[in-house]
Amino acid sequence: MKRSFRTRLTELAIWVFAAIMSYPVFLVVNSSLKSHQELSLEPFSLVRSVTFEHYERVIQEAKIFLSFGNSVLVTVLTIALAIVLSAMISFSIYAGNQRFGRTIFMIMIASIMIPGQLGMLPLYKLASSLHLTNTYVGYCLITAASQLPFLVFLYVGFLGTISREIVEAAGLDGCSVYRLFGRIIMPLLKPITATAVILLTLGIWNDFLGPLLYLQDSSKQTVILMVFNYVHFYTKDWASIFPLIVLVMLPNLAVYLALQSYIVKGIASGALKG
Amino acid sequence: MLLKKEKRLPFYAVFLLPGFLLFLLFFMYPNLSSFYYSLTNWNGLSAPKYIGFSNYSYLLSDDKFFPALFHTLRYALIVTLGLNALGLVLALALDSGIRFRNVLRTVFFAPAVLSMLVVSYIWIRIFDPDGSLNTFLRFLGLDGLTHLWLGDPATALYSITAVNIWQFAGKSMVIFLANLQTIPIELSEAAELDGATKWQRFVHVTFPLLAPSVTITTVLTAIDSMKVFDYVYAMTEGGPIESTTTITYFLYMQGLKAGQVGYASAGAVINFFVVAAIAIAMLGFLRRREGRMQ
Repeated sequence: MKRSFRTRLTELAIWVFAAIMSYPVFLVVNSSLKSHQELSLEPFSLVRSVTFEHYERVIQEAKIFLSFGNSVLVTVLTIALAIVLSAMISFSIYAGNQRFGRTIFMIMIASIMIPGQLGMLPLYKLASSLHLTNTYVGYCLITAASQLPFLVFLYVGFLGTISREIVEAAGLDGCSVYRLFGRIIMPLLKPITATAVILLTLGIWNDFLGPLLYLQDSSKQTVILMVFNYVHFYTKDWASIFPLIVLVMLPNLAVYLALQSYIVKGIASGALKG
Repeated sequence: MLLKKEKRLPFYAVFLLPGFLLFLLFFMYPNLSSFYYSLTNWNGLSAPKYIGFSNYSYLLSDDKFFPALFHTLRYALIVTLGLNALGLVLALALDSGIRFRNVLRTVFFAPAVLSMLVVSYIWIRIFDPDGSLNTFLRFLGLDGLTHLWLGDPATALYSITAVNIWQFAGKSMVIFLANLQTIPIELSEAAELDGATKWQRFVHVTFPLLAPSVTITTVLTAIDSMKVFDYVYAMTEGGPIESTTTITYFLYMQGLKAGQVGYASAGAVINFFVVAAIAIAMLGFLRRREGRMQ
């Protein structure tokens, strides 16, 4: 099929736009490979002699591996906690007394509308009086709690599409509710759980305000907080900041490229259900 | 109910209680107690003392709070409009039968997986007085257009909205694309047979059927951008001259850095009512519009 002039024009426009959209990422990668001299003399030209000296220094100075470990730890723990608890709440709404379940559901749904800043200060004070600030556990509990309303909304919506006959049949077979949940319901929830995990991973891995409040201790800092602390320490020393930013961006982009279709589908379906 | 009476209690104790308690303790309680703390002079350390509505009357004359509220609303409005418009245009362009659409989709969505903080630092380098944007303008001979993008109160907030729109345009594009795929092609073809032009088909057939994704993009963006904090903290620290101080940044500084928890809580409560009023109005409008268009 011959492409029309109009299509060609659209293509040209969109490639120009794609180039503009990718410029920030190009800028940081390109600059991170320049020597001090090249960076100050020709900050925006294409790199002439590639050097990894800044990367070597940054890897030695910034607590990169520790921070990555912390990020993995809190992301995995928080997601596990949030998923398990919200699936259980949703199951109790689905399989329990209908009127009671609806009341619980309404309470949680109404709280989705509450802007996150409302409880920010009392929550911080509560956490510090419980000695939960600067602990992994504190961050995970608080972050998981904040995600429960939305997750319950997703799960209850999904469970509503499952016929209760399956559940009643399981009851007649003498299958206990616990086995019903583990053997039948959880596997049925897999697709929506995948969506939830994608949304949660993006949110928690990239979270800044949460770690800023609850994981300040430099031995517990996440990757994002490490970047923040590092940039504050080396104000405007781009030769040090750019390589660090590239190192922090890489895992995000690598996971994105590997799981692209799932992530895009997850975002779209999570949004269309939300 | 599937369970006999005597089994209900253990059932709820196992399935409902752990999660619901966590929700009550770390979500409901802090939110509700904000209302109480807003009536106290709590500094976060000593015992809170009830002072009636004094915090609210002080807030009325605070030269930072209401500006912060308005900055946040203006910010949210621009970002919401920008993301709807850009997301729609990109989705239509990618849906128009061009080549390499998957590559383009990958490129456009990529910024959305990055951290807002990291993105902010890259953009500082672009907006710098000697950054790439001004360098590029000088290269084009447009010296008159160069600007202290983040250093001038007139442009700082808009510069931050640009970063937000850049980062999440791909996300709203993906939502619009998913929506476009649910529209049966026969509808547009039927309109074409009836002699409708391309533009008429878009206005009368495609766009009305995209109402759900307009609703979603608007609601999600409005919620997220009213909370904006990362960009502001990293790029401008609320300045210059408070021109980019948003609500979350105000609460963080006033409540946690300056230790005026009671006072900041009153600000959080006012913000809650403003956001709730906007949310209700917006949802009502979008629902009615969706209903009318379908």
